[in-house]
Amino acid sequence: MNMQFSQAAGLPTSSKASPIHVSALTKVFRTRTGDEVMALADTTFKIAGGEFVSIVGPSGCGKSTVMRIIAGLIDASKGAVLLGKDVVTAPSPEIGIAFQKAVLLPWLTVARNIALPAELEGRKSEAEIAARVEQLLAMVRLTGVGQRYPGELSGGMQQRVSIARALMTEPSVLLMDEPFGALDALTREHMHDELLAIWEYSHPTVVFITHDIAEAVYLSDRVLVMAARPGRVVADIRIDLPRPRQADIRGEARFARLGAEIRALIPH
Amino acid sequence: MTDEKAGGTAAIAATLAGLQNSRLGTITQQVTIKILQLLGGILAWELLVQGLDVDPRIVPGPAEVLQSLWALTISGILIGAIWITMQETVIGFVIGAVLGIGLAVILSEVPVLKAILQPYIVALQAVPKVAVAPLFLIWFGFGMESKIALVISILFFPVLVNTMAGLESTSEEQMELMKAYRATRWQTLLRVKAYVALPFVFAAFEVSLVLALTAAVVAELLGSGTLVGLGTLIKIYDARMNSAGIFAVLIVLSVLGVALHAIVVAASRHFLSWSRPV
Repeated sequence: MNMQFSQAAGLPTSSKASPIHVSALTKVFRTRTGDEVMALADTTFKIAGGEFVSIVGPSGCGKSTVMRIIAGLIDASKGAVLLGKDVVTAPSPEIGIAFQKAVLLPWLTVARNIALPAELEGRKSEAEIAARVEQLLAMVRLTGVGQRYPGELSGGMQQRVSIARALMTEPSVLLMDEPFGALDALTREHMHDELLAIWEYSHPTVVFITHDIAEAVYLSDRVLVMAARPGRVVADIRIDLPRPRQADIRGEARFARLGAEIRALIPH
Repeated sequence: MTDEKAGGTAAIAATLAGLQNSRLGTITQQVTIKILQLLGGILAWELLVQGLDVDPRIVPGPAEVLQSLWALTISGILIGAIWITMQETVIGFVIGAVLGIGLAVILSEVPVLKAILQPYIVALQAVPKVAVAPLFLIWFGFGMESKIALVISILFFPVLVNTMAGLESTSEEQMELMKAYRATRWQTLLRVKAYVALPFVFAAFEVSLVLALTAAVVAELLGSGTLVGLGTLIKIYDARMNSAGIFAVLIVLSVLGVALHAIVVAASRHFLSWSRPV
């Protein structure tokens, strides 16, 4: 485990991360033609504070919808999400979020993009923000590119910037929607270890959406498997591989077994 | 001289030639082309006028026009006229742009207001502004105000419509990002929408600044008091059947139009450097 980077993250060592309780969540979307589509049907699960949970499933199974409701970006049709003791009705300051696309603002430098959540919040001083940005740049291995513009970076670099931005406010809950989907295999494996280093250090609660089963197994304490039409959780698999995880675990039999078990649960 | 030496000399010569080609060479080349274009145009003009034996009171030759231009310049009349017309154009441009952008922001932030005003905007936009100029003369008199009013009316709608389109062209992802990080409405406007709208605003500027100059001249043609702008000059020469004088003013207007356009293009390059593909 790369402790140097987790130190650089400067996150608090004691985890006070909030648990997440998703309770009987239903989400119905209305399409343009007036049809109703049930994206989520009566979905219930709990995530303990500081737990790393991945959600896998085929496209259209509502995994992104669950995450967006937890993030307070959209409302549920029925049911509720508890973040700690509070019902989620709007985006919470406790949450850091990384989207499928990097969604960087092209008119801001990389440094200002990373600083954005803190600037919007307006609580940290300029010097504090600058120092934190430097830490985060080092952590995602982008030291020295702070003054460049997003348009000058590769897709992988842009995605790392967006992950640094998600960590800017030292969130106790990290929501990630297929954040590594666009990265090449090597960068992706590297980012797995970086993410685990950050997580080991400060133990935020992580909800990680992916369709990559091996990625889910490597990273998580638990993997929730979802099915589509209607979207629901069909399995809850505990990943009892030892931590800290190391790259060579990918070659072990029990790693492959867990992957196969999850794959068998995903409907085609 | 040995072969080796000759080779060395040739290499140096080639390097020098390369240097000239790369930087100074291209500039000299471009300037030469521009001068040749200009001289060629003037020559063609002169040949046409002489060859077709055109009456100089209808289409004057280049010599007469240049003479007029020179006389206008040294008398100081031209500078005075440029100053008047540029004031009308630039003041009208600034006010029109501020009003257009301001209303665009208000309408895009308050959809109810937009719904109420939309039909009026469409209707007013359809009115040919030049046709309203006589009214402006009645309302604001023969001074600079009526000219500025026409410039504003010509500029206002393209800026308003483009800015509104720009403010509404944020992506869903950008809005979601701002929502997730609990940005206030004001923060979203200043930190995202304003930047997304900027290319649209500059596009409107590029189109409408030259229109603004036209509006100022047209307003002067329709009626001006003691202030002598470039349009007024044209009117005076027209009354005297002085085509060479009119041509001289037209050349000045053309140069001013190109200069104003170049300023907007330079400003948009400067402010939109981030949006250029790398």
